[in-house]
Amino acid sequence: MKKWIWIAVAAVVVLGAFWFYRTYNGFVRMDEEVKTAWAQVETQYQRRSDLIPNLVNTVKGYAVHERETLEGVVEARAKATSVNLSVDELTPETMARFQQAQEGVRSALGRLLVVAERYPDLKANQNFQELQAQLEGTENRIAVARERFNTTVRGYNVAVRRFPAVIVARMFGFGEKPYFTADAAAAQAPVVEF
Amino acid sequence: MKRFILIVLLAAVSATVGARTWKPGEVPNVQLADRTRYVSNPDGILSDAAVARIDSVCAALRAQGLAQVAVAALDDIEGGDPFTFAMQLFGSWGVGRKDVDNGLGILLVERLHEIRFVTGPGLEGVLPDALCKRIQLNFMLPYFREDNYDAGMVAGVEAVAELLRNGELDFGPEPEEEELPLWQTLLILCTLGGMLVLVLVLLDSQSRRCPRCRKRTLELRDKQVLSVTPRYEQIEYTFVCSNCGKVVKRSVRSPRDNGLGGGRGPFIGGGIGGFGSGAGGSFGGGFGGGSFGGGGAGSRW
Repeated sequence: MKKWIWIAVAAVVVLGAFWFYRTYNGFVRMDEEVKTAWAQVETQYQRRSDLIPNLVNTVKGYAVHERETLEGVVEARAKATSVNLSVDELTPETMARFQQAQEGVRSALGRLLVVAERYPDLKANQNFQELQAQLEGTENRIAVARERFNTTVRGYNVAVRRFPAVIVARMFGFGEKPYFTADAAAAQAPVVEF
Repeated sequence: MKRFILIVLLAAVSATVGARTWKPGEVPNVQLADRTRYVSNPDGILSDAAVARIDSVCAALRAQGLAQVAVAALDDIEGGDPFTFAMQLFGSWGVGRKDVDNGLGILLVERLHEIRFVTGPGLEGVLPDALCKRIQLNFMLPYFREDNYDAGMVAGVEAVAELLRNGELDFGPEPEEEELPLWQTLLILCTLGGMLVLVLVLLDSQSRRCPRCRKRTLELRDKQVLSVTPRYEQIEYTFVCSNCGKVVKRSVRSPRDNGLGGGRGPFIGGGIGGFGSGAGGSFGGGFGGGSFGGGGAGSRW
């Protein structure tokens, strides 16, 4: 009789250990997926920042008197690139700060493009038109990257909060990750009507 | 039955009424039905000649392993945002190879006067947003402004093809046939294995099951040759059940040679057939399952 009890206990222990190992490894994999998704988001935001010097130079050639607007864009860009977030530092607060900085870039860009409308020579410039297309493409890419990040984080958060996996998560420090929230202003690429 | 016919007729009529607002799921996936077709033209915006021309360019591009191109020309779309619509439409079709994401989707929405390109990440090196815009502005919009959609689309697609051919693109050969996903292969193997085991067990147990006490305890005690002919021999086997003592006699007729052939071996039927997209002839096609990252450009006129 005793022998059976020991065997049962051993079986439970083995199964439990197996579940433990599976759950932990699952968390590791999902954590890496979140990291990758975050890297994608950062890449696309960086891409937008990289477009800005070229844009500013093109506009400067035509819109000589719009110094304030141009400087606004340059400043917003500098502020945004100074906010560097690694995945481990992601909390709702740091996320909000990051989003705010990027939002500043977007609104400054929007203002610049509105101003550029008043200069028909600039609007007709093919280089400028292509820069606009690149900006719009980048905004789209940012939107897609953010959406995919949110989806990945959702999967991770659900896994980490479910019972009984939550025990393993707490034990090894797998906390919840924050989401991107909708921007205050309309989350569209700066639309320019011709 | 009558009601069914009525419903079918109504659906057919409503489908032919023009100026339809499409949802992404409703746009016909022509590539799935016919692997030589890449242009979805349900509202008849493009002429047959233009469609044929574009189809041939797309087929050439795919054969050369440069890109998978899909084109859709619609009257109007739900939601009013061609970018989101194009992402959903071409994403659901999986345009582009799965491993390199070399897909290009071209969407024309007539009512919104907008043309939209969406590029997969694999094409962004050769077809960046700026070039997409340039192609639209220089090759397509001049025709679109004159309501000449045929010439505009053909010019645009040919410009894209030109760019792709001259650009530095090498994705390697396209895989011949869609491979079975791993879990399906495993499932099939397990089912076959299970069937095999089942057959073997049944046959085996049949030969050793005692008819009286239903246990598999029959043992061979005697073997006697009943008759011999030039081709066959008749043998009687005597089994005794070790459990209940029942005596069973079975006579078997087997061909007279050294026992090859004619056995009771299990016969697993051949012809498992072609799974995947190649089944049933060479009509159906399909894209490679690529995805899009949001690149491309759009233009309005």
